[in-house]
Amino acid sequence: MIEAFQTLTGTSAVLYLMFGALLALVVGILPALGGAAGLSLLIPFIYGMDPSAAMAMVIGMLATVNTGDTITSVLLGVPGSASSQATVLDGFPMAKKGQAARALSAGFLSSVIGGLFGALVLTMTLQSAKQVILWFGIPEILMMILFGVASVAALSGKSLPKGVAICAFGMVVASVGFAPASGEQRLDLGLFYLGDGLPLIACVIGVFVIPEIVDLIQQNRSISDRPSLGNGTRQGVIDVLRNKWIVLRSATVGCLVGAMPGVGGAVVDWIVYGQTVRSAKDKSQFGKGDVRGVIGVESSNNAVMGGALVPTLLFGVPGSGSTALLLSALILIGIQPGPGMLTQDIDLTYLMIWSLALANILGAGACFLFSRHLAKLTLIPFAWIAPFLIVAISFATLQINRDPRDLFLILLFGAIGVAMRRFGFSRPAFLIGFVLQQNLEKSLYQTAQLYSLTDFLSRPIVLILLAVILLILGTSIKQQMTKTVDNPEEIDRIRQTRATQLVLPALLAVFFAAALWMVKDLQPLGRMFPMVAGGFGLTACAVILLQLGRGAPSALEDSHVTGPRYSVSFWHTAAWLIAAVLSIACFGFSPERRSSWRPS
Amino acid sequence: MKLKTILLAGAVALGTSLPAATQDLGLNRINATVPFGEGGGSDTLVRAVAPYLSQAFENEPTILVRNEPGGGGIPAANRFSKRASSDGSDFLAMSSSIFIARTLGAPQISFTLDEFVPVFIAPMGPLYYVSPATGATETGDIEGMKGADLVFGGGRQDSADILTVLSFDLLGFDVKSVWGLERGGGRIGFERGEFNLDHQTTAAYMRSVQPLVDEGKAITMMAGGVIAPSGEIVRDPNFPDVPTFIELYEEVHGEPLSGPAYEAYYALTSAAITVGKAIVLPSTASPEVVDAYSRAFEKVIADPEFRAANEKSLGGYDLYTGEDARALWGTVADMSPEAHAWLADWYAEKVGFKLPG
Repeated sequence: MIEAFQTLTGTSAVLYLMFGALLALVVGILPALGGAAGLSLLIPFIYGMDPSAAMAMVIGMLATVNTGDTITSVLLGVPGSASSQATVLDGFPMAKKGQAARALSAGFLSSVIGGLFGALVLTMTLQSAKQVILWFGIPEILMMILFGVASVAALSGKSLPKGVAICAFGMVVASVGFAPASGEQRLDLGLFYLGDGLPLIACVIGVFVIPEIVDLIQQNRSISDRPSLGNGTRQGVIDVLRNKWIVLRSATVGCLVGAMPGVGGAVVDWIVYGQTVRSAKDKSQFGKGDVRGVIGVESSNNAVMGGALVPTLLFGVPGSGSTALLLSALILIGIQPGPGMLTQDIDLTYLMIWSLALANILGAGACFLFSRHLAKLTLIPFAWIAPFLIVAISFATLQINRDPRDLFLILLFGAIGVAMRRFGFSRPAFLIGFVLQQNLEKSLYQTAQLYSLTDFLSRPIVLILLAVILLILGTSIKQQMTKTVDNPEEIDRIRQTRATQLVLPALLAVFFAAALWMVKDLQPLGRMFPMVAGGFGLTACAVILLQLGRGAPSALEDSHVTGPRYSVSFWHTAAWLIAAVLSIACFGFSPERRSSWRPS
Repeated sequence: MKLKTILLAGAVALGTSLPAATQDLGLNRINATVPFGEGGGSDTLVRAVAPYLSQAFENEPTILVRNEPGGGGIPAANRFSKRASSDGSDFLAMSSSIFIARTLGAPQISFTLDEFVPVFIAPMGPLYYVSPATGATETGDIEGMKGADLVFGGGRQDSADILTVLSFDLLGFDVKSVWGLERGGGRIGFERGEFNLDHQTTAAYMRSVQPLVDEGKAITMMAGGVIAPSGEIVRDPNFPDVPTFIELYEEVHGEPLSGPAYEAYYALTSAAITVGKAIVLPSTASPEVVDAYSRAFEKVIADPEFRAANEKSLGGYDLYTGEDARALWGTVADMSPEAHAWLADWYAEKVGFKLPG
C-alpha cells in the first residue's frame, strides 16, 4: 500500500494525475459534459502508457469531474454534469442571494470529504466487497430503488397528491420507448424519434433551468444583487463542519448506491437530496437556498466513485458510462478487471485508491483557488448572461444525441417546468420519477419472474430495507397531515386564481388517461408498469382537482400571487427565449456545419 | 517526454488538428462515425484502431472519432449510408446489434448491406457456460443436464443475447429468459445463483468466467463457433477443444440442424459473431480508396504492437481485411420468408416477443 503511494508520487504518474484532474475541471464546468465525455477524450492516449501513469490520469479525471461541475451548477443554475443536477436546487438560489462563495466553498469541502470517504470505504471494503455485492441480488436492488422513490413523499412540498401526480408523470414520461420486459415499443406515438425514450438531460434542462432563466430575465438584474461576495468562503467551511453528519450520511449513501451496477450516476444526487430534506427539522428553506442541500448532494456525488469502483474492479461490471470507459481503459493497458485486482494487481488497485484521494484534494484545492474569480460571474446583469446561457443549454442538449429536435423538447418541458414551479408541483419529485423509472420497472419485473413472494420476503436485507421505507413513508405522511395552514388572508388571495391553477392538473389528468388508453393493447408485461404509474397519477390528479374545486388550502398554490412582482412581463420573456432556441434549431445547422452531426 | 506527447495529443483531441496531406488518400482528416455512445464495444475498437490506422497511411491523417448514439445505432447508420463521402474521408463502425436488427427486419433500417464495403472485420464468438447445479459435469455434457430448468438473464430480446435462448431451446431445454439486464449483469446474477445459464464473448470469458470455471462454480458447455470465409461454422480458434452448438445439436438429435431453424440460426450467428465488429466504407468508394484502406489495415493487423495492445479486447481471433473481409460480409444473408416466419413463431411462443415486420 505504501509502495503504491511511492509509485504514485515518486514517478511521473503524479504529473499525469494532475493533468487528468485539470482537464476534468474544465469538462466538469462545461454544462452536460461529464466523466464519460472527458474520459473518451483521454482514452486514445493511454495506449502504451505505463499502467500506473495511465490509471493515475484516468482516476484523476473521474474523481475531479464532480468537483468542477459544482461551479456551473451554483453560479449559473445549469447542471455541470448529470451528477450535480440536484446541486442546482439550493446552490443556485444561494448564488442569487449573494452567497455564491459560501455555496461553492461548502460544495468543494463536502466534495473533498465525500471523495476521501469514498476512497477510505473502498480500501476497507475491498477484501470483503465481493461477498457484499453477491448479497445484493435483484430484490435488494429493487428495495434500494423504492427507497429512492419513497423520498417523493418528503419532496412534495405542501400537497402530497401533487407530489404523487408529478412523480407519476415523470415515470410515465420515462417509460416512453422500449419496454424492457416485453421488448415492445410503447407510448412512442409511432415516432422513431421517441423509440429511445426522452433524453434525461433535455428534460432536466427544461424543467429546472428554463424556469430559472425565465425568472431571472423577468427580474432583469444580476444573479446576485449583493455588491460584494462577502466572506462566504469561511462561512461555507463552517457550514460543512456544522453539518458533519449530513456529510457522513450522504457519503455513505453515495458509496452504497454507487456500488450498485446500473443504478449509480445520475440517480444518487436525487436520492441523497430527498434524504437530506427528509431528515432536516426545518424544511422551509430547501429549494430557496439551504446550504444543507448543497452539502448533502456534493458529499455524495464524489463518494460515488469509491463505491462504483468496487463492482467495476472486482467483477468487471460498470455501473455507469464513465466506469464503462474506465473498464475499457483498464483492458487497453492490459489489466483484467476481476478478482485478480486483489491479488496480482493489488499494487495497481492501491495506486488507484491513492489517485482517487489525491485527485479529490487537488481538484478541490484548485477550485478553492479559482472560485473567487469565477464567483464574480454572478455580479454581471442577467440580461448579459442569458444569451450565453441559452447557447450553453442548447449545446448541452445537442451534446447527447446531436438531434435538433431535442431543442423543441427543452421548450416543451420548459413550459411544463414553469407551470410546475408556479403551482407548487415539486420538480425534484418529477425527476426522481423520471430517473428511477427504468431501474424500478426492470427490477420489479425481474424480481417477480425470479422470486416468489415468500422467497422475496424471507431475504433479510429486503426486510430491513422494507422497514426503513415504511418508517420513512410513515413519518413523511404524518408530517404532511399535521402541517399547519399558513395565514388565511394569503389563502384567500391565492384562491382567486383557482381557474388557472386547475389547468396543469387537468392537463396531467388528460395525459394520464391518454397514456392508459395507449398502452391498453400491449402485452401484460409491457403495459403493467405504465398502467400502475398512470393509475396513481390519474387518482392523484382527481384528488387535486377535487381539492381545488372545494378550495382546500393544501392544494392552493400560485407563486404569481405570493411571489415578487417583476418589471418584465412573462410572455415577453417567454417569446424571447422561444425565439432564441428556435433560431438555434433553424439556423444553427447550416448546410456546411450539418456535417458535425451528420456525415457529409 | 511522455507528458509532452500527452499534452500535444490532448491539444489535438480538443480540436486543433495539425495540417498534413496524405499521398495515399489525399486527405488530412478522416471522420470515424461510431453509431453508439462512448465506452461501448464499437467505440473501444475504433479508438483502439485509430492511432495505428493513422500511422499506416503515409502522411498520418488525423482520425476524428465521432459518437452518434441513439436508436440502437440505426439512425446513424442510415445517415451514413445516405451521406458518407466516397473519397475515403468517412468510415463507419458497424456492430452486431445493427446487423441483428437488420436480420430481424427492423422497419427503421433504410440501408442494404450492398451499400457498404467492409475494410476490417474482427469476429468475436460467444462461449456458453452453465452452473454445476444443472447437473452438467463437463464441457459438452448435455446428457448430464437433461431435464434441467434453465434461467437466463439477457439485455434485449432483439440482441445477440437471443442466441443463448435459441441454442438451448433447440437442444431441448426449457429456457426461462429474464430481460432488461445491464451489460455484465447476467454474469453477476449467475454468480449470485439467480441464473444458471449465461454466455460471454471470448474477451469477457477469459477475464471473468475462467476464474469461476477454475473454482468449479461454472462449467463451459459449448461455443458458438465462428464462420470461416468459406461460409462454414467452425470451432472457435481460441477454444479448439470446446464443441460448437452445431456439433452438440447433431449429437443430441442424431441429425444435423436443418430447415428454417438452421437458416435462422445461421443468419443470427453470422450477424452477431462474424461481422460483430466491422469497419466499413460506403460502397460508392472507388476501388483505389478501398485498396488503400485494405493495405493500411493489413499493416495494422500485422503490427505486433497493435496485436499485443489489443490481445485481451479482441481475443485471439484472425482479423480480416481485403478479399477475406468481403467474403465474410457475403455470409450475412437475408433469411428466406419461411425462416423468418419460423423465427417469428419461435419468438412469440418462447420469448413473448413480437418480431417486427
